[in-house]
Amino acid sequence: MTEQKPTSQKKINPLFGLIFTILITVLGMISVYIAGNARGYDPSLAVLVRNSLMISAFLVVYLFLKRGYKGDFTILIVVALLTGIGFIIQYRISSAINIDFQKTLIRQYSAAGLEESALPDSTQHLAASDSTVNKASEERSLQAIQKEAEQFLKLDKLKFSQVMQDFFNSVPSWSRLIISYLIALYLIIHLVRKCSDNRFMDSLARPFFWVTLTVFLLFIFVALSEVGTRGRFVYQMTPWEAFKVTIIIFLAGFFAKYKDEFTRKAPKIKGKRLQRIMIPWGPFLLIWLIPQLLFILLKDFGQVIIYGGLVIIMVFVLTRKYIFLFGGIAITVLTSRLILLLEGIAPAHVMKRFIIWSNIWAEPHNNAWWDSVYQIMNSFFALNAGGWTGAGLGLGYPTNIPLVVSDFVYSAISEELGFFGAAIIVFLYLALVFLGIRIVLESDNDFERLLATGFTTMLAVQVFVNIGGVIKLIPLTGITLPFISRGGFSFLVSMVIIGFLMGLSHRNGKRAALEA
Amino acid sequence: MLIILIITKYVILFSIAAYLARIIYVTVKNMPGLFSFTRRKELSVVLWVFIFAFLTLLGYQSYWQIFIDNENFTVTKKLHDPRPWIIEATTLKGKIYDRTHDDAKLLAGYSTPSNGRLPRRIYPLGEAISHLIGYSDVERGKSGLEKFYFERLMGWTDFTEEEKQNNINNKYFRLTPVGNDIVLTIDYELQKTAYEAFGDNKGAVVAIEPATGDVLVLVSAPSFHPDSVSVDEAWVRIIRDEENQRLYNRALKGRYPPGSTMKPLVATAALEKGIDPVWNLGPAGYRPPGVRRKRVHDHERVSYPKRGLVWRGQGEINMSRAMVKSSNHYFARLGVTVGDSLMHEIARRFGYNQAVEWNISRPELKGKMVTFRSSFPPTKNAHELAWSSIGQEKVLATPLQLAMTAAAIANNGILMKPKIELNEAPEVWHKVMSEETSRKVKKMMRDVVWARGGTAWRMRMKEVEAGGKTGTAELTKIITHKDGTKEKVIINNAVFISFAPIENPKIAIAVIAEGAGYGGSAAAPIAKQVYLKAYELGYFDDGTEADVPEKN
Repeated sequence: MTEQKPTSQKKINPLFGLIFTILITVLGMISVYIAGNARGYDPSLAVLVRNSLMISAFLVVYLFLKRGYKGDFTILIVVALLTGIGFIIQYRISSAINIDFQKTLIRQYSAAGLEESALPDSTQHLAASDSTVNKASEERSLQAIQKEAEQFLKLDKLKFSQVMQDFFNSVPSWSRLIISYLIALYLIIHLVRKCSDNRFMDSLARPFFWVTLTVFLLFIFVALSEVGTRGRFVYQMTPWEAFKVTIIIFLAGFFAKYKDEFTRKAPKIKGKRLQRIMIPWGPFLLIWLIPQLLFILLKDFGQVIIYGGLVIIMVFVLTRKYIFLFGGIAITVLTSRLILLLEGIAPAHVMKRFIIWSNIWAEPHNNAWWDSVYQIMNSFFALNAGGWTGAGLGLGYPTNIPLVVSDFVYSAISEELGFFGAAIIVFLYLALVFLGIRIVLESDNDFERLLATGFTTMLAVQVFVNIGGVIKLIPLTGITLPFISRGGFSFLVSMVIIGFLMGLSHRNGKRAALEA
Repeated sequence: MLIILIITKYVILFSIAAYLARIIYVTVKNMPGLFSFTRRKELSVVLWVFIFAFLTLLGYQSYWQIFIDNENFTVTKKLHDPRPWIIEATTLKGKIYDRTHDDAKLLAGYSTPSNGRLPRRIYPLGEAISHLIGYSDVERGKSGLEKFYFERLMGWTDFTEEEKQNNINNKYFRLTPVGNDIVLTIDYELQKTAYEAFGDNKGAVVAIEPATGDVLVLVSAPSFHPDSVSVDEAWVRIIRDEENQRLYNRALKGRYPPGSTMKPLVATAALEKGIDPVWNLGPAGYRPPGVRRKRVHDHERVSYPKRGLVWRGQGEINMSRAMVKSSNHYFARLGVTVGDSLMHEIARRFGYNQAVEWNISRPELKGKMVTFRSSFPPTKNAHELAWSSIGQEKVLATPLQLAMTAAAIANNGILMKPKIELNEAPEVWHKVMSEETSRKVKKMMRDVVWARGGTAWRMRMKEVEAGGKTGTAELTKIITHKDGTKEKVIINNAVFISFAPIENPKIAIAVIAEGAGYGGSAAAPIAKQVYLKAYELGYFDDGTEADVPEKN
């Protein structure tokens, strides 16, 4: 071993990192462009240039922040790398014309077969009712196309208010994407600047303002979306994305304020019975109540794990009692098993996912079974086709998976870049977790510590739930993969979280500089 | 081109991995004590919980991605994974040529891919050869040679140097893979002629080149169009047509009683034993010794009274004449005289009672060609042997077997392995009989066509001198009518085996037409048309011009 160096000397050069990211992204997209053109896809050169410019915007963020920033830029580099890989894979998926390849194939073959068999010399046996065959088959394929179109429209029809729908439809999708992306990047700069302001941090720490806001936001979103269908909004925007940030801030403020009560250090006051009960049971109630309440409200198991994990980790970091961590994990695991007993009570689509998760081969392998496992099984086919190093960018066939753009983007990466590529993604997120924990470690007050813990946990659990669902480690849920999945709003919220983390890192750096 | 993309993939993977390793190394160094539980224990626990969770993800993923060994998954993947079909649809599969290796006479090719459309498999001969070539469809799978030669047509095999090079190119350099072409022994024109001549009959036509074993024609009818397999309505009509069994390859899998076409085999056995008896045969028919059962009668016993004549028996008759007259009486007696063991030995040499050995040099394809075996089961008594000798009882032969029988006689008694691929070297399967015997049997079969009263007189042609043997196999079939009554119907399968020319035969043909009537009238004209076409194509040119005897 070499001699111990002072820790602060080891640093990643952010300029190099960001330029490296841009180069990798452009290289990947060019690779997709070449492969796509050769294989008859429709990769757009304009999108390639647009994505290159968009990823270059990270460099602009760096240049804006560079002067005053005392924190760690590594977070920004990791996020840029993830976003870059996301751009490559989005570009790959969106350039393939045929999303459901198999059906296209069948249709093309059938149509061509009809043309052939309509020739006079080859119709000896088809002659009797050839015209009816032609007609019926054409009608059938027409109906199929109409039905598909209807289904596709239904996805966009949303249970959203008409005004919102009109607004979204009036904006072209390109500009919508670019605007939300630029807003997200601006929010990073803005939040980093804001976080160095003590008054801003104090206002964040006031829990009762945040509880009001949280409840208000929750009600608005629940009212806007019809809860029955796990409200999926325009382009995979789920309404409670924004709620994530507020609840983390609220919980951090709340826990920081009542730390003594939670750790049972506060003096016991006679007569205040509620307080007496709350001190030992409060954390458990929170762990149990928040996720379950949300589950009942939103009927989405993904949220149970996300909020459950969030509260468990935050309570554990606050109280340092192992029972909350392992007890909480045990409760979550048990709940997921107990839901299997709730057949008939729980909503059907949730039940279906749980049954598939518990044993995918259990039911007879008929058409109904195939319909229910279609998505996850296609994901397995994609994983299986990938192998160790994958098919190569633009050379795989991941487009047969429904929702491959948002929820199942990880399968597409696993097919085209293989297990190694998937491992790189997982380790990038792990690096992000390390960086988040480092901020927790260096923070000097409970509120900031809990805030950083909450944000880090939120990202990590979201990644875990998405990837775990895609590979069937846990039941499938409709959670997107942060930074990589397409989805303007979820990207925005993820960037807000990164903005907060960088802001907290900046505060730590500034304080360390003052102390030195 | 492809190799650049593959290298790019590795460059991206390794550069990100290296940079990521650096990031993680620096980050870990920047928080000393945290991974070893020495600073803030609760944070260390949280950290390790996340590390554990993420590694679990990778571990579980590696199961699905790499280590999976689950039968359910394998079956589901085989059934539902679209990748093989997409790969097949985007590959320029190899063409299948006929023996002339001519682009105008393709048996299977592909359409040129245009504006986003995938290359599509086309079959120029359509229904005429659909059983042999087969089909390939996303929902209905594959059949025929499309299935048999699949890996080769896709360009995955490494058997020859050329294929190896093609495979390497496909793997590393080509974005659109290209398959290997295959040249078959089938003759496009003959195949087409045979199918058209066959018309609405049910059955099969098989033609073999005796000297090499090349299969020139392999028709099975009723047929289907390979393109109609992809059209739902047409497919339903094909599979619901139970009466016709359109998908069944009768040429290789249909087993029919050979009828009188068994007689050359009996004659061969007798001549190999060295006997050529002259018998005086009366009108009473033949009763095998030791058993009291149905007598074997000549067909004149039925036909003479119809024409107002009295059947008085064949009288003094030798083998050659008996063959010309197709005397059941004579050959049943001859079969019993020859004896069970020699009959079976000769039948075995002709290819009965064993799997057909195709001339295929590739070890991975050996025995994969689905062909049913012809059977001549052991006979328990003289009665069975007598009836087997005239091709009834339990003797069953495929059309291919009948063609091979004719080919073995034509090729001086040497049976070649049937071959479907042109560039295989001819191989001997069995030495069936001596050259002397074969010359005698050939002479007999020539007389069947040319001698007075020969049953195959319809085969007489100016262009080429052919020899043959007709056969009419009787089958009793029970038909259930719609009102429930059952009726016994006697069906005559027309069978005909032949070869031409007599000296140095170039083609041997077997025709079977189910329920079409007599071999001489229903099956022989079909063979005749094929011979005429072959004459047009110059099959009989290189030898001496056939000198046609002017008789009758």
